[in-house]
Order: sequence, then structure tokens, then C-alpha cells
Amino acid sequence: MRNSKAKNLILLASLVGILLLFLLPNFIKPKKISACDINNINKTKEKDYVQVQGSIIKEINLTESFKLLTIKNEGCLVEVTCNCKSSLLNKNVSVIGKVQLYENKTQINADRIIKN
Amino acid sequence: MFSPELVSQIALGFFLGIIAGTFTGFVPGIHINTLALFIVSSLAWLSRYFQPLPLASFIASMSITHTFIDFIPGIFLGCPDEDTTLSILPGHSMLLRGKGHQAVIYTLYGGLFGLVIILLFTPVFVYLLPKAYPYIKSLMFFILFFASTYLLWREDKKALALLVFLLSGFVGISTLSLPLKESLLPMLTGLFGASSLIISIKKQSKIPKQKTKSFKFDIKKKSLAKILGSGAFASSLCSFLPALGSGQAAVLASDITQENSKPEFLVLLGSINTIVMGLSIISLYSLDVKRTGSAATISQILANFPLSYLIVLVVVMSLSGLLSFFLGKRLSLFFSRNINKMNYKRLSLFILFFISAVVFVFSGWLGFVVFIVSAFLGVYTILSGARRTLMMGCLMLPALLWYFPI
Repeated sequence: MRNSKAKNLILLASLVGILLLFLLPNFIKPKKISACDINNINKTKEKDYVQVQGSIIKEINLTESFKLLTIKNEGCLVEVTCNCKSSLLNKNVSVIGKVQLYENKTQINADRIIKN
Repeated sequence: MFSPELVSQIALGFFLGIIAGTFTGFVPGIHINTLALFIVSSLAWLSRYFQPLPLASFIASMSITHTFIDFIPGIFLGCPDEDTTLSILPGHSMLLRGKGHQAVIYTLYGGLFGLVIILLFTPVFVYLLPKAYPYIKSLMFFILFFASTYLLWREDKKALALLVFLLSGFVGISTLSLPLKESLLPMLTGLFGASSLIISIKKQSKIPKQKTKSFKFDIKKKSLAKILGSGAFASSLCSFLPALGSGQAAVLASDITQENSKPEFLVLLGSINTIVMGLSIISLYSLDVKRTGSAATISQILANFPLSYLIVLVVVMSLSGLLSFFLGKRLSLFFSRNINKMNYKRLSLFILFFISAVVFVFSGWLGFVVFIVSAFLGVYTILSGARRTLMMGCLMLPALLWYFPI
């Protein structure tokens, strides 16, 4: 009986914890950086949570729902990967996501793309 | 073909790899990926002194050594990582009967057999797999869906199994979307390591004096051939398919053979752990897929990966495995002679504190939150009697969503 109560309490704690993990990204503010900062090791590191603004000048469909976007801002270019279906070409956007290294190139793996 | 300087650097990488793999295997909560992370972040500095191949040899040697040694804390301390979690039940029950050393020896023999299987499978992976892989890749979602369904279907309590699988999957999805450094470290350490420690502290197991003499390899040849055949089949699949690891390979292999006796199962686990690691490095060469942290690190170290490098890495893996077999025997003997003199509860508490500190240092406060939530879910899984492999839903569910065909 005591064991089953403890088990249910632990299950409840797990559920609340999982909910918290899903809500946490809403409370973590990304670091606002310019596209030129992305390749600057002093300003950004892999796995940093960042926000970059700019216009999308190139869009490559890697799969049906996975795109590689190129964003231009202040004369610098940054690559963004996203799970997005509709075209964002020539749109002015804010990208929020994690900095990642892919084949020695710095990219942003987008969590959210907001149209400005 | 290789200069004497390069050969001596490879030899250095090989020996340092054995030392590092013994450390990562022996200390709970320290995974090879943690050390590999150091290598990757110091690559610019290291490349001034070392060529890429010796660094890759270091990673290969460390990874294979780790697969031999990491059963020791799993069996003696009850704190496995995600690859050795299934060894806990048979291993710990042998420990409670004074046969912990024998349990470790069986896993070491498994690793040794695993090395032979890696050597046999290397040509298949190099020459045949690249031809079949495009077809396999197009079916990836269905393969993962089948694997997940199979894991759930074989459970007696299906609703409970589904609950654990889904909750682990939600932990995985939410964790992977967080801006975390080393996101797998807090999640897997919490689900598999911390939860087992908490349970063992609560249980306060009394460890009897261990028998250390007269080990007899008590498995019949026919039975051995059956477990190694099924282990080779299951782990070769899991070495290049995403989100499937040693745990799933062990479940699949034990279902194929229907061998559930303790020595057989421990040999099976030992072989699978080594095969999955070794073949994941071969898969990096043949398919350019990075299914383990070690393969991912080697891919970052080697800009070019010619066949001659692969041959060197296979030789390094074979020799490090062979040395680790004897090293593992010595370490297990040391543990067996001293385990009943240790305060087991205090030791488990110390290890729990240590791995919590490791998580905090490498993944920050956010990682620590993931670690706590994962530990809660891990404890629930153990208390409810569900199979711990189901918690691999933390990688399988995100992978299913990733490969979803629409």
C-alpha cells in the first residue's frame, strides 16, 4: 500500500517534471546576436541559444519538410536548418534556435521562425 | 606507408585510450562522450602536436576498453549506463550469491567474442552495406516503428509499457529542444544511472563475501553459437540504425535465442556492447553515419577517412579489446575481494552525489532539471516493474518523429 502510494507520487512528480521541461523554453530568453557574430568564437559557442534577424535569400529543400535556409543580415550570411514546410524565401524573419556545428560550419538549428 | 613518428603517435593514442576507457568504464556517470567532448573542444590545440589518426586511435581504443570495463560498476555497484542496464538483474543476483566476479568474467568473454564478430563483419559492412543502405534509409520510419511496437508488444503489462515508453519519449523530445550542452548526459544518467542508485540505496543490499577462485566457463558450444549468432545479427542492425542501441539489440537477440539463463545472457550482453561500438565506427567509414558519440567524434577528427585508416582503427580496437579483457579480470578480482568491506550505502550515495556534480558541471542548471525529472521517471519504471529498455523511448520517439514520412 505504502509502496503503491510512493509509486503514484513519483509518477505524478515525473508528469509535472515533463510538463515543466516542455514549458521551460518559453522562459529561456535567447541571446540576440547579428549574423556576423555567428562565426565569431568569442561571441557564440556550439549549443548557445540565440536569436538572429535577417532576410532569407536562399532556400534549399533537403527533404519535404526539412530546409536549409540562408539568412542575410548586416552583410553577413548565416545558415539555418528548420523543420518547415512552407516557403520563407525573401521574407524578413527572426530565427530562434541552437548554434550547431555541421561539417565544420556554424549553423542555427531553428526552434522557431517568426515572420517580422 | 606510415612514418615511424605516426606509428609511435598511434601507439601512444592506443595506450592512453586504454587508460581513459578504463577510467570512463570504471567511474559511474563518466561516459566516453564526456571525454570525447574534451577532445573535440581541444582539437585546435591537440592538432598542433598530434596527427588526426592517433587522435582517432585514442577514441577507438577508449571506446572498446569502455565496453569491457563498464560492466564492473554495473554489476558490483548497481549503477549501469544505458548500454549495461540489462546486466543489472542477472549480474546483481549473481553478486548476491557471491558470484559477482564470475558475472563480470562472462561479460568479458562476451566482449572477446564480440571482437571476433567485428572482424568477421567488417568486410560485409565495408563492401555490401553501402549498397543496401539507401533502401534501408527509405524504410527507416517503418523499421523504427516496428522496433518500438515490438518492444511494447512483448511486454506482459502493455499499458504500463506504453506509459513508460511515451513518458521517456516526451522527456527525450523536451530535452532535445532545450538549449543544453551535452543534452544526452543528464537524460541518460538520470534515467539509467541515478534511478538504479536511488533504488539500491533504498534497498540497502548486503553484499556477501565473493568467490574469486575456480571460474568455469559453463556454457555449451551449441548454446554459445546460438547467442553469438543472434547477438551478431541484432547488434549489427543496431550499430547503424538510429536510436537503437545495445539495450534493444539485447532484447531482440534474447528473444531470438530464447536463452534467459544468467551466464548466457551476460555473454550476450558483453558481446553486443562491444559489437555495437565497433561496428558503429565501421559504419562511419562505410555509410558516413554517426550512431555513437565515439563515431561522431572520429568523424570530427578525421577530415578524410581512407581504408588504410579504417584498418588501423580495426587493429587498435582488436588489441585494446584483448588487453581490456585481462585488465577487466584484474579489476573485477580487486572489486570482488573488497566489495564486502565497503559501506555499500555510503558508496552508492557518494556515486550519486558525484554523477549529480558531473551533470551540473557539464550541462548547467537546466541539465540538472532534466537529470532530476529523468531520475524520477527511472525510479518509477523500476518500482512499477517495467523493463528499463522501454526508457530508450527517450531516443526512439524523437527519432520516429524525425523520420515521420509526411
